[in-house]
Amino acid sequence: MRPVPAFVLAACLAGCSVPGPREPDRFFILEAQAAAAPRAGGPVAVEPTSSASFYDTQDIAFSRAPGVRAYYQFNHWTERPARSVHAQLESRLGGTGKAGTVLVTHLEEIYHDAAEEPGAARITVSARLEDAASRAVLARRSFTRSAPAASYDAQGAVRGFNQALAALVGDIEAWVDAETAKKPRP
Amino acid sequence: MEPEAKYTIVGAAALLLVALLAVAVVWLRSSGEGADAHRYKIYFERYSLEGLEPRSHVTMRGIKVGTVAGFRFSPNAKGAVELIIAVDKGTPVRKSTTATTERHLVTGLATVKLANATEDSPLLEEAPPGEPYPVIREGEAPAQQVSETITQLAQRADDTMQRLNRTLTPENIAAITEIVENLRRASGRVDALLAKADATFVSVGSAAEEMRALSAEVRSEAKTLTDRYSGLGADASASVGEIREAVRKMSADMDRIAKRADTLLAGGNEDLRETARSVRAAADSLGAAAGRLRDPRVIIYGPPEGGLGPGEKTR
Repeated sequence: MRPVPAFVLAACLAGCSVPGPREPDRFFILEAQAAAAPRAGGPVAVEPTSSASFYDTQDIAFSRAPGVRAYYQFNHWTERPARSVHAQLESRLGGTGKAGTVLVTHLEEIYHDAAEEPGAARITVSARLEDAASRAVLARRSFTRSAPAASYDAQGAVRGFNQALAALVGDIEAWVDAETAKKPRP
Repeated sequence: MEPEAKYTIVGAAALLLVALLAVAVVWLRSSGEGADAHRYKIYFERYSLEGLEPRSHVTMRGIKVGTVAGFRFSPNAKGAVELIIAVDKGTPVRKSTTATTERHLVTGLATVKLANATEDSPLLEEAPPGEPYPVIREGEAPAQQVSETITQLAQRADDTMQRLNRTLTPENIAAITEIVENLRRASGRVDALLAKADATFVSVGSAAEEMRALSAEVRSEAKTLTDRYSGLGADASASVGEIREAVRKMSADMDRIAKRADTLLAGGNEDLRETARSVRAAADSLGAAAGRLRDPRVIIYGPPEGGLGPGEKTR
């Protein structure tokens, strides 16, 4: 084969192997809707929410089969979900003044259950309430909430996540208020 | 009758052609690239010169300002490579100018990049004793992949310093303010400037001492990130698997730093908690940078077949 046609053929092949245009990356905010009623209980010190390592990333996780998780490739959180969860809890439970109790939370799971269309957004957070002075554990509990995805994609799942997070924060708030009410006053 | 050979004409024509050739060569040399160029020498000890060739580009602030004239192993400096570059007349090569190499991600072709640390420095004109040309210093710029992260780190350090102001003496505030201003002007000098900040933190107390250690650790990790990627860039034989393993280690380091920051957040006063959040954010940024570089194949070719989420598609 002559050199010039060979070069042209090689160039054409190289052109075919170059990746084409791809879907643009999208970033979503994880935020719960603001609660309608103001909180009655006293302030609680909310420690930063820790996270299971798989979910400690800006990538949105999904599951097509039980026990299997993967990440969306082009859809991400604007920040790691544990930090969003912490921000929501702090804005709801924190406040001015000295806090007598400390809330410690751990994000166990946050993923789009996509086994069936459109699937559901699931969030699980374990919580522990401690005495601020002695650090004695007053109570502990795990909270799970899910909400249907609006559509079978990341955008629909995020709507579900926001609903689920709002409900979950409400659950934790009610639990904290109930537990702190039990605590004997000094 | 044989034609009469006009040897005089043939000889004159040959001489004329030779003369024209000589004139053309002189003209090309005098008017072509490098005619008015200044030559400089660079000793490269740390940077790999892989992908660099004679006539490779020399750039300053993204503009081509010259070419590589030649290189060889230095007979004077052990392990160094001497590089001669020809730089266009009028290029502001100063005593503060440093040289680094940059390699194109896909083609692998390298260029020599000149950078001025300050524009106030005098021009580099004199050759050191025993050198035929002025010598440009080898730079210590980080790998391009993480330079953005280093800048972010500097910005976060700025916030950190501002928060600490409330707990410092006026003398320390003045010292730190100076550092912050320097950080704004030259984020590339983060390491040296934060080292200065370390000395200032000593008087703040044990809590701040812990914060100082944490800051130092984050800074150290940034340097580790830089060094590891520089090393990988220099080693063409490093496989994708090795790169992934290196970045995995870095991610683990970042997680460890973040956990330590969380411990600090649990106690201490509000200022320190705010500062710890800044340090944690810096660690997160580094971790995210490491994550983005986890698999170079994904950067170039996109996600693998079957790896897309619901509703995602490569068009």
